[in-house]
Amino acid sequence: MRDESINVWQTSIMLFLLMFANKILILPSLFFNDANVEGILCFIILFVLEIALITLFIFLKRKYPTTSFVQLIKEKFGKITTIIIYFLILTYFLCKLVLIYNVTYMFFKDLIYSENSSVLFLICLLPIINYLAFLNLRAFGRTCQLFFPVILIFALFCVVVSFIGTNSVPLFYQSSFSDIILTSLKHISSFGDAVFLFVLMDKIEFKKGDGKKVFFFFSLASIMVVLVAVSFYFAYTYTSFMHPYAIFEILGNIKDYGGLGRIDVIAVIFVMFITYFQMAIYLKCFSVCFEVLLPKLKRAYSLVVFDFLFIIIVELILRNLEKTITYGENILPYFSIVSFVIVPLCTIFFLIIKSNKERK
Amino acid sequence: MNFFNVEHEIKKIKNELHNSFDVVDRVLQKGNIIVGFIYLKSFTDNLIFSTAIYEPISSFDKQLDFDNIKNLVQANDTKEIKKEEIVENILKGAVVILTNTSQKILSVDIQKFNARAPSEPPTTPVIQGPREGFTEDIKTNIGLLRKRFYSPDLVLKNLSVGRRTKTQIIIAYLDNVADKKTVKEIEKKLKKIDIDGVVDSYYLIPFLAERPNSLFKQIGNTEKPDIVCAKLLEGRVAIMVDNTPMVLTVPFVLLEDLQNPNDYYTNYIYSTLLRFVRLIGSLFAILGPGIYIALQLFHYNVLPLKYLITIADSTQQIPFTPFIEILFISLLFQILYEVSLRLPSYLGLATSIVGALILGDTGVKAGLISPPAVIVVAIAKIALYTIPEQSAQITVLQFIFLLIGASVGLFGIIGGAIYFVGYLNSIENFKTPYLAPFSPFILKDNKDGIIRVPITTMEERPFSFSTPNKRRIGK
Repeated sequence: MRDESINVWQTSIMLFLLMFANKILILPSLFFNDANVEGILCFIILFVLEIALITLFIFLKRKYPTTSFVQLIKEKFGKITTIIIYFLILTYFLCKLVLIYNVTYMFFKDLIYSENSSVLFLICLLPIINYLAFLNLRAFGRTCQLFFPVILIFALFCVVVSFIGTNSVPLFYQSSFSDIILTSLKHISSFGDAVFLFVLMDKIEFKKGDGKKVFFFFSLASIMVVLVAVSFYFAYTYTSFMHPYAIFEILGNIKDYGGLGRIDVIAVIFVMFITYFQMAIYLKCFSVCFEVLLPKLKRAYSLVVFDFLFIIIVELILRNLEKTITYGENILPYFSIVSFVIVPLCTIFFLIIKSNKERK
Repeated sequence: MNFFNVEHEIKKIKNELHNSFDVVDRVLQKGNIIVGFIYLKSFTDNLIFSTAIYEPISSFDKQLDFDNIKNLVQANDTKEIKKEEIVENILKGAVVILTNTSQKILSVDIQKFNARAPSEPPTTPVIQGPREGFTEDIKTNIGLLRKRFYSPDLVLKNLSVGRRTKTQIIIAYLDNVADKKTVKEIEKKLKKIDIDGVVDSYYLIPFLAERPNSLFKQIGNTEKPDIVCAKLLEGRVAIMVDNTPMVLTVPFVLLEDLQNPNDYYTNYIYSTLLRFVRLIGSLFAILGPGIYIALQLFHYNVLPLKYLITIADSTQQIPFTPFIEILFISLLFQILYEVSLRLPSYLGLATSIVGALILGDTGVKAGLISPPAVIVVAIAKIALYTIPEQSAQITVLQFIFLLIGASVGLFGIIGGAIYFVGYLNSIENFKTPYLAPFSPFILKDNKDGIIRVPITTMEERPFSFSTPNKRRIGK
């Protein structure tokens, strides 16, 4: 049990790592397509929702430092409701994994693996994320911690250098408030990553004042994402929707800066790191949910089930960027109910009922 | 009253020792007392036996008894032993003295073995600092350690391991500095070892390591007493094995091999710079050839145009694929390395000439290998020795990443790096995280991490493993 615990630094780093991937790849372009430069506001709105989710988690964790989320909902809503909720969470993580895989695969395929099939990509990815998910959480958390400085340096480099490519200011007030809200809802599935905190709740060692650390890392990541989007819009202005991979495009725009040569490769390496960690964290959560649903089965079975489902979905159903975008915009938002409705509602209900009982 | 039939007992002991040619016995009769001596002539000091043991006893003109004999022996290491310990003591270089008038048996240690003098070990040469190294003789090694601690806090525990070799093993630690639980755990693990013989300290490593089959080094080893001394002061435990100059230290973290004894005998800013160089060197040694091959085979489109043209120019005439080319050069280097290790030193120069000049230069001129590939492999192979203690591991990793780079490209290399870091993070020897103080990040221990601060600011012992007394400077 002790091996399955992580400290708040490692948790915050995981949260930081989850904030990137498609948010700095296709999302700025998609937001611009639907909401013009006000796409920046979509990011801010969705990050505010994420903050609400994190706040709820911290509140819950402070009250019940050693209890798991399963125990909490089982206590109030019964076994069957728990199974249903955890099945939905499990499906949500699977869907997110599929989305991230497809977006990053298309990114790599377009840029550095143009002559290779998706099998090669899967051969690289699946064993590593399976191994990380199979590792005890403590070792996994430490691995995230060790790579964090490297990833942070890459991220900061991308953010800082991307501003060098900005040369014009696009016009604001092109979209209405309803456009912004609708766009945010359309792409809500790319957010809600903080739900992993609830799944790993009992495994996180949390002390008084640790909430600040979580918020700090979250704020750092979200500011960086917003800055990437801002510099992307400022670099490409009205043609932003034509450039699908924001972080790469803005560095590509200034690729010969300072005689450094192809600095856009930094963005590719950064996304590679992020992809592994993000998918491994989701897979770990998938595995934890699987253990709740089928507690008698060993962890390895959850990974086998995941691999089987994952390969079927990505190889047979979603094979190109258009299908992936359709999947992300039309199907996945429904699953976001899990992160933005079900989990918060369960938490709020639980907290209200508990506080009423305490008052009595 | 006769307690022993001395001659019969000597015969029995000799039989037990299979009547080996070097077993010597002497029987001395003085009045009604018979004194028997038995020892190994190949392993004892015959001069001391004659002058300090036999002569005083034989020339004693009063009535002899066991107590007289004990007093007459002019040697320091004298002890009474039990009957079942006779053979063991003889084999350890003692003269065993039996009398027919007493049940007591005397053992006098006069072991003599021509051990070499402490000299600078070839594995850890230093520019500044002590040049002494351990030897194959455990007594000399204990002396080298004792010389550095004029304090009763240095505890030495004696064990013997190996059914046939009965090799002497010493567990050394500082009282109130080393964790007692760790010492007990080591003792338990060593006592549990059931092996016929321990030839070198390396034989113990698989029994002490958490993952005995792992590629990665999990137990520290050194030939230098000053390093052992520093590690004991940090709260670690040393394991000395007879017949080997290699002393083991636990708990071990990977960072220890990044540190070099020279670091502590030079300016701290300079040693920090050197540690960065070592880190970059070892990373290049592991990943360099793999990344080069990945860029050439998969991601040539990310290379800057000028560099791409240079590579294309120099590789277009090469008949082999880039992977075969790099593999060929790497194997060639490895063969030359193996040969140069085993050849007498006067032939080493010839090997270097054949290897570097004839094979390398002619290979390039003949168009079999390209200059960029030679440069990449050469730098990687040289960089491998920035951390010589890890050269075996780095060599294996280099080949693994070469294979990954050639088969799946850069994405695979990053995945491989994450896999290995994940694996290393899962290792905890003696409850010490293998990659501490980097993951988990321990700020205080990073004072002697990649960055080294002056010794005056290293006020505490490492936090990555348990020690009862954390303060090093002040109270």
